[in-house]
Amino acid sequence: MDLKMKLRKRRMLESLDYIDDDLISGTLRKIKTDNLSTAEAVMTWKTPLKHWKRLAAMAACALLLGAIIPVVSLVSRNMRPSDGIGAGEGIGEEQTEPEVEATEIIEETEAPNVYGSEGIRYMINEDGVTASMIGWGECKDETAYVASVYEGLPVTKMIFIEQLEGQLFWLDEERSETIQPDHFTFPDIKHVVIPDSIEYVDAGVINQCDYMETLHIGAGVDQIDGTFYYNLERGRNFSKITVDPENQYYTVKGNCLIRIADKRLVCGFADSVIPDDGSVVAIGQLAFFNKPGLTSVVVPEGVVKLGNNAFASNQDLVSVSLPSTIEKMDDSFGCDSVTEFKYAGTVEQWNQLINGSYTWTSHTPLRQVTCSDGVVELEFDIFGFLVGAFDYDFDYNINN
Amino acid sequence: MDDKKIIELFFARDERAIGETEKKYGALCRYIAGNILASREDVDECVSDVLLALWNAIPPEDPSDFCAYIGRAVRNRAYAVSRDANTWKRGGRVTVVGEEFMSTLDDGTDLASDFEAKRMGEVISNLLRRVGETNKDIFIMRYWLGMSHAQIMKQTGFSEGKIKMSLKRTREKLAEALRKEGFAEWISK
Repeated sequence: MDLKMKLRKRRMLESLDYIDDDLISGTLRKIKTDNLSTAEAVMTWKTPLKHWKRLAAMAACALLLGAIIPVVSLVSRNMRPSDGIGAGEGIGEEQTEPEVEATEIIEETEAPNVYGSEGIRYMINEDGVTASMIGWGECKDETAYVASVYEGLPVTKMIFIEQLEGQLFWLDEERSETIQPDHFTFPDIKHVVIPDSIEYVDAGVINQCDYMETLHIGAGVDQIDGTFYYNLERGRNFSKITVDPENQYYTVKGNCLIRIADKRLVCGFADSVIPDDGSVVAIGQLAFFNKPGLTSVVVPEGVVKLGNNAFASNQDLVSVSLPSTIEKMDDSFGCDSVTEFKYAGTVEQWNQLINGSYTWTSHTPLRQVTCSDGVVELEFDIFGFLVGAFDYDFDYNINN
Repeated sequence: MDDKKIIELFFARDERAIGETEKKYGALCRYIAGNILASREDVDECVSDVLLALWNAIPPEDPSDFCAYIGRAVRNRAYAVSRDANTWKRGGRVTVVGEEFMSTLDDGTDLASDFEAKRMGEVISNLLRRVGETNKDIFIMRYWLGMSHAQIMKQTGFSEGKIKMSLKRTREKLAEALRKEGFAEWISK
């Protein structure tokens, strides 16, 4: 290689040193260093645990001795090509010419990739240091991966776009965007994968995927607002939720999504078995709403509350069994098909239970409840409301 | 621990600063150095040098972007180590990457000064802000970090074809950007 070529190579590569910090760090923060291939073996070795302590001791000694180690210029802007140690140096001046690129083992990653599926929409949050997923946009992947990083920032929220419609968001110094909601049902999306970076999920954005079958919740999700899944016609294939085992806020048992803090069953399916190990004390609002194939419900002892419409809109549901521990029951069974209703408590307990509960209206075919010590005949007033169920409590709190 | 707190430890001359830096960025540092250096010992030496350099540099340095700061330090120190100890990855991908990147330029091109290198850096930065997050990352992984196609595939999940196409298009856009910025004579025909 002649001198001119050497110099040209060096200068050209030096120009890369002047790429802006934010661009560099945005990429560096995405580098996964915990899943390296054999081709990267040189990086996989483990540093001795006390390695840094040795360094610290060296540094302390240097300070004590008043030594000044001339390596400051190594770092940051002082490292730019014209300055200091290592600045853009070693770019092949005395190196041999390349022959072939090292042979490497190419492996497809199975992990959800950091960029997510193409077409999904994001925005930078007002705090300027995090980002949100705001819609499925043009995503046509069967498995839709939400990105964990956008514009170098961690994606921490999934926001239901309709709540943002018309608002103006700044994407960066030069670009802004007026939020418009997605008006599509995203028929291609069958599986949704929420990455570990996401902390907040508005179920509304999940519900936009009308044809979703499975949902995976990452380790970082600590709050899910709203409920899964409203769509009566198209939401019928949704049948499974998985949660990363590292998630400390949500878990899955018996194919039931459970919020750990208050032991609330958030979402279940036709084949779900409500755990009887004490991990569930409440069935959330719409938890079993519209689950085709759900023919019977057995609520175990220990459950004290059923949320609004918890078992509503299940046309196949014929049998319900409630425990004696139930203390509060809202309009939980809006089903026309239930013919058998058992309650493990006494008739007296039943009468106390429905006092204050807006449980049934007369359109429900069920006319009697079997208690542990007898049968209660259900009576309805002229307005169609259950006699005895006065002081209606319309508790439509989103988290119930 | 977030970067701000780590820097505060450096300013407080608290030795935990090095440990926390190692803990948070140690693997990344080795990843960067490992793309440039040939042996684990060299990588070890490089990362150790950088950590010690950080201890001596902060303060007075107060990096606004600690991640990029460390990344640059490791990258440049690794180049220096490779030159000083003749431990360059001979025939390895870094040199190949350099050739590939320079294919944008005309054979007779020479950046006559650091000023021109800096100017080109600005052109690259401006370009990378326009090409989209994915293309930007692939470009930096390939040319700044010296990663192989296989490594980029593993990091991003993209196919090799998509990565190569992304790099090709970004280089073409870079050539176009250089023309517009008055560097037309640099560009290969």
